[in-house]
Amino acid sequence: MTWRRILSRALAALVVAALFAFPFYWVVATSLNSESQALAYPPVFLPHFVWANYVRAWVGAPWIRYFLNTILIASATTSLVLLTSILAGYAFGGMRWPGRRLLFGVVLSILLIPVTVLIVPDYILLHDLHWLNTYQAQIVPWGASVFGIFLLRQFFAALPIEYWEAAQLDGAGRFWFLWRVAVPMAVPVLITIAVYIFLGSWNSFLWPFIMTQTPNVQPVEVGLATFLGTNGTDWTGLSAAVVFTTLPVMLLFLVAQRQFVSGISGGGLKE
Amino acid sequence: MVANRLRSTARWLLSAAALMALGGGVVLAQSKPVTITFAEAMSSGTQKPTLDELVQAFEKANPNIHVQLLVQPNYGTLYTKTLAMVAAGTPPTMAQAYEGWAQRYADSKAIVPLGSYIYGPHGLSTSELSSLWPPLIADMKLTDGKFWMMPFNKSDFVVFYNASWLAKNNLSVPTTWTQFAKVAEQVTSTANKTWGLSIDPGSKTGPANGTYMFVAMLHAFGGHVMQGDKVAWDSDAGVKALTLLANLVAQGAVKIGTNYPGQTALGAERSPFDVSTIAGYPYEVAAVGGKFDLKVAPMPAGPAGPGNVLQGTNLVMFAKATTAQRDAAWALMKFLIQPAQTALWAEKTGYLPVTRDALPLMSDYLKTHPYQQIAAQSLANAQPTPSLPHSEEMFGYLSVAMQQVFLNHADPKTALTQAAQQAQALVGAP
Repeated sequence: MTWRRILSRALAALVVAALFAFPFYWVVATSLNSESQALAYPPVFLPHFVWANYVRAWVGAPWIRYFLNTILIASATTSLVLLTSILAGYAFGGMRWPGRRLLFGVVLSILLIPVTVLIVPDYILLHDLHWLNTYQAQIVPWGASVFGIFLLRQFFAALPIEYWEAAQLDGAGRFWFLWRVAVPMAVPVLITIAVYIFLGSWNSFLWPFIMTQTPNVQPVEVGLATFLGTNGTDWTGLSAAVVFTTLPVMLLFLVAQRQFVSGISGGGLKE
Repeated sequence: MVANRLRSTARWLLSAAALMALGGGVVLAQSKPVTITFAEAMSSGTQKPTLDELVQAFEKANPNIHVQLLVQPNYGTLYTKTLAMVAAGTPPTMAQAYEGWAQRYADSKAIVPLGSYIYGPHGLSTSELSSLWPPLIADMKLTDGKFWMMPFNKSDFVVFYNASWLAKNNLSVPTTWTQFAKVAEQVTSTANKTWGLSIDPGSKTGPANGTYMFVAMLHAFGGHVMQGDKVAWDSDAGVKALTLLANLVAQGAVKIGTNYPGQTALGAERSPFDVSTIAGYPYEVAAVGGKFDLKVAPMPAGPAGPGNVLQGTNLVMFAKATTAQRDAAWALMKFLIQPAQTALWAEKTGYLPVTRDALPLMSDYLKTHPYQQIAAQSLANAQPTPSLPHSEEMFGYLSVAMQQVFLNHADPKTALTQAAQQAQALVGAP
């Protein structure tokens, strides 16, 4: 590889990295500027280290509690979705039984119903179950994902039938085959679903806000929303809160990046 | 300045102490401890700590009453959550509510009228009632003419402006919409990237500041939202007001944005004006950050004189609450409108003091912050939004009409008429 080629690749990588890093840098810079600097034009790109924004944001809410709640809710929801998606996806894609296409159509049709329409009936249901203001109210109703079922159904439907026939010859049952053969092959799909669901759960706002009331069970997004007021927005306080709630996740990703990527590529090699 | 602040604080403390010592008709003799829930959206800026402070003072004066604040981040979530709580049979004891929401709650018998409390043994004295600003008294009633609400966080529209900019360019503060349009055109420059004003016209599901600014203009041009049972914003007055705005948008003198774009443009010195409610004052100050001389002017007048819209919410009391909870909720409602409390609320949040009796307590503050006086005087021209159960959706159609005119260059008359027909379908035939 010539030096010119190496240089141009490095340059392209730098540009892409800068494009992705800039929004976060902008949030950090805003969090360290005064409100008027944050709204200034031309923009103030350099931070002026107004640490008071962090103090104001930090004392405004129980962030550690919010953060731990979010991790618990997002992790539990993701685990539950993976479990239900594997079971339903395999039933729809890997097994032959009458009415499966019709039932799969019914499952897909759930996508047509907007969540906001169901908020009030769901609130009444959770109230009747005595689940309001609990963790399970934020986990169980989101424990099945049509997106996850769809992806895994497509994957299992494309899996050659010979795998199942070979496993049968070795005396395997459906569950053994599913967990020992089909699921390991589906790791890349599972990671895709996990990332999608985890992010969705991490970012969910309306549902926890309506179904919960106290900070001891509420997630980070609820805390962040308090900076968006009824007569204006506290941009610098919001940015400071975004920094200290996002930073742990970013650090976790950086530390676990190698395992994360190898999980995807390793799963891919088994196909 | 500091001495003034100290004097002002001392005056509140004295007033509060006097209230607590004398009872002031506020301290309620609750024999047993009672907890009330208060669903509200005062979640950010100075609003949250100030409401917390007031509630703590109330609890101190009423040791048997515990107030649990159910804080929501915005009005939309507050409304959704309150509706859900009502549907589940577990409403809060009291909540902030716009007039339209209150009408909807009243229609479904979810809230109780407040007449028996206002005129009851622990009610308001004649002087207390007459001290409330007249438009607020009108705003406490629903379509049946009964009192259903108590005023809380009330505001009206004003013009925030960059006085340094106008002085430097020898421009006067506009007092009419025609003058406003002229100044907005004069300050608009593609080379300097400056324009007159930024507004948020809102959307179908969320009418915004810009929607209600247009309603204020509609009044100034001699029009009305409703005439009797008929949606009437498509009158000649409405068309003239929207045409004026549309021309400014077409010339680049008014720009469209979201999330309080006027504050951002004013703070960034791109525009000399922001038309917003007085409750936005602390946010405007933060956005400006002392970069220039920020001042406040009354809304410009139109051919029919000054026009304004009453903004902010009232308090309602829910029917499911026990008698003890209702009594406690009434005590809190009454506490919040006392001169000392409403003066504190106004000085710290930018909302208006709801009673005229608060103004003497704010004399020092008003000397240094005349904006409150301007906003309070503007109340004389402020009209409440109609207390119709679907008013939010109605104004959503108006937002759509504004967007169609500004962004798709639709004819103002056609867009307003179509929006009026859609709104009329919601409220029923006239």
